[in-house]
Amino acid sequence: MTLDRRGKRWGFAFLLLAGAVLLGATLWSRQSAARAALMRADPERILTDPKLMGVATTMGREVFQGHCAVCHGAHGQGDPALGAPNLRDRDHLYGEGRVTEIEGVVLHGIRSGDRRGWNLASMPAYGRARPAADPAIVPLSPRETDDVVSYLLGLQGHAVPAEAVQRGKAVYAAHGCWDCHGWDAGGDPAIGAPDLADPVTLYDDGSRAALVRSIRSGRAGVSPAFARSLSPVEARAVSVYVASLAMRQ
Amino acid sequence: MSWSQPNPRRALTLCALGAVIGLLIAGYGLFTARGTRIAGVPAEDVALVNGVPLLRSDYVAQLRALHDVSPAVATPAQRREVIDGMLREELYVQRGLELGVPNDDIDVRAALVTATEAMTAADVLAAQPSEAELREYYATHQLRYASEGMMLVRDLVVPLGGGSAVDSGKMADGEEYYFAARLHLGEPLFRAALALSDGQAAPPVVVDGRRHLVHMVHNQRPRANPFEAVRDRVLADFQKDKATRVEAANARYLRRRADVQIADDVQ
Repeated sequence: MTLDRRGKRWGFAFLLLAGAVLLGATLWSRQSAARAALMRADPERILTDPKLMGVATTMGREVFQGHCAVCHGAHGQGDPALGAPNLRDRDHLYGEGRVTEIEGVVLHGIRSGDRRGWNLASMPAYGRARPAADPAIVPLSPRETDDVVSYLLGLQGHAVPAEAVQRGKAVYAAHGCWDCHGWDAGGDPAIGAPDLADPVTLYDDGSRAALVRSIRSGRAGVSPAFARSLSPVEARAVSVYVASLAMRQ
Repeated sequence: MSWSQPNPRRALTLCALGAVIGLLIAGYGLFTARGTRIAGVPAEDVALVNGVPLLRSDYVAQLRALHDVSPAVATPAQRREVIDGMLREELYVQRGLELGVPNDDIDVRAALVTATEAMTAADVLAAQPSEAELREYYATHQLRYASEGMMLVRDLVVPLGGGSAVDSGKMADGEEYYFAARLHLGEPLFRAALALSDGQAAPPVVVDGRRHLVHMVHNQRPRANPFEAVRDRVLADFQKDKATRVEAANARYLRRRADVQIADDVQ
């Protein structure tokens, strides 16, 4: 009688354990399948697939808060003091905002030491005796710097003296600023050169003083490479999440 | 013989059989690359070459770089071209390692050293310092973040035998950074000018047989920039210094770990 009752109790416990294991295995296998589907899908098509988007944004938000929010802000609004771009608009410093391009930045970074990252150009410090490693790049005098800034402020729609704009335009052409930023100062997303005609600036508040500071001291913002600290699926998920931030605007 | 009855000989036979099968599987895995393959390619990879994964992210990036397409719209020929290229590269890398190319080829050696250093730096960059750490770093290296000094001077030249003073034209560009003024004025005149405040004139300085009178119009000495204005540079320098320290520690660790024997005559 006692043995029978004990046997039943053990049987019940075994069934309970088996049920828990089965449930765990089912959940794990569903989660694994969803992650595998996220990896195998065409990155650009994930954005239009509600099921994959659900998986990606849930995981991506968590990764973003842990690794990216420290510079780009909790909501991806960016930090002009650091030159960390706003991820919620459709202006893309590098590339065109594709998931693949964002994933490349997440994995290999910008000026991060990873040779597969974006390392093509940095803003020279024109207020130094040697602005860049390339000896062909020569310093600008304070007046030339002021004139270039007048030219840029003019492009952005600010009221500035026409003569200063003309002088600045000449300096812009003579000193090769166009080489990275383009003849129209519209920037070049292939090397991360910002659009200088846009009043929303990458660094600081876009004031004359801030522009002068950028030209004098140079800029070389860094985005770390997370290829060794994030799993491939985490990198994919956070890339989709970041791409989705711009889509919400 | 009944299977329900214990049988020591049968138990031993089955045990030995299991051991032999285990050894065969292990041997197959150990001595053939195919023996170590797993069932299927993981989702994050597009291929495995002798167990080495070729990452899907690299495949997607190469499709974009070569043909500007995403995987879903790439043609079979485009996909084949990219995957064939990746397979070829991996096979040659593996073959190169088998042949000991890193020991023979100076370019490969240099690339390996650079890549290993870069990996250390990349790991450092991936860890973000706290605000307090950055402020402390800024406080200890404040001079680094001072602005370049600027001066606007008039350099008048008076002939030694007498006559009227004329502008030398050395500062024709107007206000200049200190480094440019030093270059244009020359060291003796720059030194004389550096000590001047706005509106002051230096005692005459004779250079190359001519008497110079330096008059300072505006002297803006280097100024410390506030932390907020140079935060990005502080962060970059902090991480660069940290990477250098980590690299040095890495080199020490590698040296300590390695069995290095140096010939007597070069010690």
